[in-house]
Amino acid sequence: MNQNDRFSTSAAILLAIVALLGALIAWRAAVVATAAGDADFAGLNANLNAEQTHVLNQAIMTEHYRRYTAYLRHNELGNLIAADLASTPVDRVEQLDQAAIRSWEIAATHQDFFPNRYLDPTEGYDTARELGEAWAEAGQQKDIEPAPHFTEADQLRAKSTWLVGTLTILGVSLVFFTLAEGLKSNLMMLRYGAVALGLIFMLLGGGAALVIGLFG
Amino acid sequence: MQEETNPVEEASPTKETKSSAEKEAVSLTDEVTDEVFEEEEEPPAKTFAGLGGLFKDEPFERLVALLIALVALLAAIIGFLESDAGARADQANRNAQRFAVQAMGRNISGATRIGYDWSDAYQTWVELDTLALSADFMGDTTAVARFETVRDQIEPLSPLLQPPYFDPAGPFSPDVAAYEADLYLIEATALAERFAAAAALDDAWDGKANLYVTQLTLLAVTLFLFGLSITVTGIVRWLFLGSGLFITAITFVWMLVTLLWPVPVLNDQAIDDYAQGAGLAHQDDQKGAIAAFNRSLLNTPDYGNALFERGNAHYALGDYAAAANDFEAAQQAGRDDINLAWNLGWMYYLMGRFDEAIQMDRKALASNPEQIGLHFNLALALLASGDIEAAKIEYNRALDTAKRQVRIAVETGAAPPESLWWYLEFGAFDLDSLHDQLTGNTHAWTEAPPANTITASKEIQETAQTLSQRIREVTVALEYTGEPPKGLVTSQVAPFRFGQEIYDAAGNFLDYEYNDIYPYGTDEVLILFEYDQMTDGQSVLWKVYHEGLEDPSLRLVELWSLGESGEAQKPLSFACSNTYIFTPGRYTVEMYVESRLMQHGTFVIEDE
Repeated sequence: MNQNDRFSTSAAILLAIVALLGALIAWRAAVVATAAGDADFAGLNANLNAEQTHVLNQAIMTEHYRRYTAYLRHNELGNLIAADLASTPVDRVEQLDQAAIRSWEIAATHQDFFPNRYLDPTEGYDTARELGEAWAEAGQQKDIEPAPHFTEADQLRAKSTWLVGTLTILGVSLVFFTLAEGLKSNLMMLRYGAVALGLIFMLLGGGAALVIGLFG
Repeated sequence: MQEETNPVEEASPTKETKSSAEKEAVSLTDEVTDEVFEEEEEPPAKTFAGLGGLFKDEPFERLVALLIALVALLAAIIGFLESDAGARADQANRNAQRFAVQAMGRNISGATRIGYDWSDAYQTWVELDTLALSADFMGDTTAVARFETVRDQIEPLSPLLQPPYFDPAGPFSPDVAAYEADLYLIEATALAERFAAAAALDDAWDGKANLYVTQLTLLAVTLFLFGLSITVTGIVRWLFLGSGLFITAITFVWMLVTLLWPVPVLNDQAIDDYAQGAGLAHQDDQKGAIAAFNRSLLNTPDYGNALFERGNAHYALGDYAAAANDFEAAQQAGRDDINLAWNLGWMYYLMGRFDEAIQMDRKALASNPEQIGLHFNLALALLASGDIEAAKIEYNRALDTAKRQVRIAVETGAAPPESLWWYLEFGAFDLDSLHDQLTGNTHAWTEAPPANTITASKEIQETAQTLSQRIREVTVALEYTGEPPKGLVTSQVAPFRFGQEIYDAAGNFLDYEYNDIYPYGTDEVLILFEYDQMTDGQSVLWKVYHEGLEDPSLRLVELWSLGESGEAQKPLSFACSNTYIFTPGRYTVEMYVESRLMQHGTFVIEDE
């Protein structure tokens, strides 16, 4: 094998290496893109869970609050009637006493339909606390935080795109190697220059892909 | 086909390195080539000689190899752009789904909360307030204090019962529209708009990605042509090479155009201003809404939804020309749907631009031929334009569509869509408005083109009246029998008189006091009429319209039981309640016998 043949063979091997490297990067890009899709799906699932939880919690809390409103009304009315008993004419005491008892009884029936733990003696019914606790409890049961998944998906998608971008750099090396392989042997400077440039771009492309793959 | 020997190849220095066997083969090939391709044209030696100076043996093939490498590089670039566009499309698609789910969630949560605020908190407040009022009437001041104390304790439970939505000392009920807007409507609207914007972005990037794929396919064709060019000789190889280069050039230019083509990115501030506008429009603050839409359009002048909604706000203010301008602009901005065509057609009609109205209504109908409301609008525009026969045909189409929809519903055991009755009612309402406009008998609710834009008005007037009655009768028949009205009814009902009973001090009935106008606070009006040729068992329907639209709570269906002829009175009454009275305004009463409109009359309740 003479020097010219050796050069041609080397150029052909470099071309093959570039092609293989390209295929490898394309495979990695595809794998990363699939992972981005999976992260998106997980994010949308969490988003759906979050909205579902939000709507259900709101509905449940509203029902509790509805009952609390009725409780407050009847309980306070009973309290006020009872407070008026002392100043009520004797002939109406019995009637008012019964009215107060009826009011408290109705209040008691409503009290069974909302959790007493959110009753606040000064603030009334703590809806924010009920919603907050329900949210926290739901967070233990299912994924309700879509943001991290979406962030991951965006990062993976960018990674995949940039990996594909490195193929462009490899494409440049492909052109230089092809040129070097085809040039006449007497154009030494051009041939070796082309090979050198091809190598630079190959290393740039491969290196960029490696960096993106490892740290992107 | 054998390979043609090239004169440049013969001149190539690498020939010298060939073996003698190869030389013989070349020599033999040359002979055969000379014999077989004597008349074949030689390739342009000059160009080839230039390549020969650069490339080693078989310079054409080397050139093609280089071109293939360049095309591969271009393919890599387009592949990168495709990957980027695809990634952006995926991201936008995901965001669209996310916003759609969030918008739905906000709407449901908001509606749930409003349900509590209005039906529980405010209802309880009203109940306690009424109880306090009743106790006050009865002179029980202790009870008044009790009810008022509990009522006041209800107020902190809901923001709806607090300023700025409610003044407990004032005469008005809470401003639910403002509360709804603040609680969820603006946010849900913004999310819905972000969904639409993301969907449009997805569409745009997806379109780009698809174009890049097409371009990659073209480059594949190019590579195929380049490959073919080295398997053939003579002019054909240059033809293939040239075709490949041409396609590559076209693809490159196309790629640049695709790359530089802008994607529709909706400004976040524009969306927020739009949502504010939607919230203000919900509160019927049309001027405030227009100002918000203006701010939105300042950011994004071709924001179709903002233009559309600003058009609706102008329409609500009665500025039809401005509304039409906005609808046209929205259409040009890409919002070209059935709602826009419907509204724009209606604006043209109200301005007396009947040809454009007809054109727009036909366009909208092409999207949904089963839409009865559009059939009515088209028919009305045709009528106003003076094409009475075409209008009648279109009204028949509308009524046939209604009959068909009811028949299908009856056959499948389902109820006809409620919207059907609404469209039918408005079909008649719009004809009445046109009639009122032409007779100079307009009301606050009259919506019709200026009378001076209508020619042959007398004939149109009569046709409008006839068609309106027909629509009403068909509506009644379809609603109560599922079929159009059959046959004629011979019964006769004299024009209505409205009155109230007069009693003496002892409570004995004296006479009726007839009147068409009643003071505020009236809770009962009697309809008095004579009748003839009635038959017991005939179906009778009473419909009452307040300010042009039916008040279904006053509708009454009965079987006739007062004999063949005589005088009758029909009370329209809220007297059973000590709370309700007639709302001020104009009331029209209609009496149908066997789905035929027998008589109608009008009375007015004065303002407070």
